[in-house]
Amino acid sequence: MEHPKRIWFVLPAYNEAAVIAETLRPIVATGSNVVVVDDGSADDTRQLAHQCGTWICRHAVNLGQGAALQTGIEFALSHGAKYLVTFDADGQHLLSDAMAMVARLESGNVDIVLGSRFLGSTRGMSTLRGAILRLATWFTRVRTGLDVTDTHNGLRALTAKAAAAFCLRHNRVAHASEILDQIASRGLRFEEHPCTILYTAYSKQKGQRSSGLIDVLFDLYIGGMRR
Amino acid sequence: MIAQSGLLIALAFVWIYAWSQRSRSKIVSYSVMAVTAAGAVLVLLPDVANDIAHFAGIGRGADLVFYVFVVVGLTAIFNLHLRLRTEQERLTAVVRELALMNAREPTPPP
Repeated sequence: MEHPKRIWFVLPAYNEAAVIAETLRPIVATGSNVVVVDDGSADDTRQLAHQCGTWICRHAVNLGQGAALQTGIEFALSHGAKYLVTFDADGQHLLSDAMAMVARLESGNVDIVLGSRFLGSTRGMSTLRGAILRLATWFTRVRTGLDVTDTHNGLRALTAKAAAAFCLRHNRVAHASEILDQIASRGLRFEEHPCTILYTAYSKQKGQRSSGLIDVLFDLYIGGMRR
Repeated sequence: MIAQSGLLIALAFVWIYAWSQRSRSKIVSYSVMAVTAAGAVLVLLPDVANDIAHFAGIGRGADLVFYVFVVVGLTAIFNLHLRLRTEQERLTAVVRELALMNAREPTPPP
């Protein structure tokens, strides 16, 4: 396994004071670098994350998860990251999945490993959410031609080369589709990895609305018209 | 006559403002000037609107003006939406630069 300090976890966080420390402690314990991008939180997210021993980048105003990810990726790359892991701050992901995904990167055969809840498992996901995600996945497959089984999954592991190729312009939820678009357009090599997503009462209350799919479509197409 | 005068004054103000702003965007300024000039013609010569409407297969001149207004209004809203998104991208760049410049190093956990 690569020296932990060459592995950077990037966590966008917005008003996650209730769970941020619990999410961060096991990650920090691995010895990896962790950067939390506080996306203009109004609560103590930043202070709590810093107390856990992480780097902190703070957006002065709330921009959205996509913008926070791009900031964190740029920061990690400028500090010599070899592998990057994007990880949700709300405790939905398992650290063991992330480390297994980094191990797959180390084989050198892929640029990006994407977490897939539909190859792995979910706990507490509603039927409606599952149906919407499958629809979004189908839409992504048609749109990008990528053979993916999941979309809008925040758990990803990527090499520095792949991370440097990304330029996320969608500040909010559409960034997840944008990442897949850029994987397709840049010809990056990817694999999916079975992962577990935990839908807790907290994450469900904080997470995307099901109607967010409409926002994603609007963002992608209006954004596309401008390019 | 009062309504005509009021409309012409309002259109004249819009035309002058568009003319004064042509250094910012020639296309937008000249488009607005053309639309306001056409509007002034229709205010002064309402029968022209009826003639054009009949030629285009629309019942009344007033309907023609309404339809054109809707199209112009929607185009303006769409243009504003795109501009807002461009401004959002600029704001994002500034906020990101500040965040990267002022990053805090980790302190050892207690």
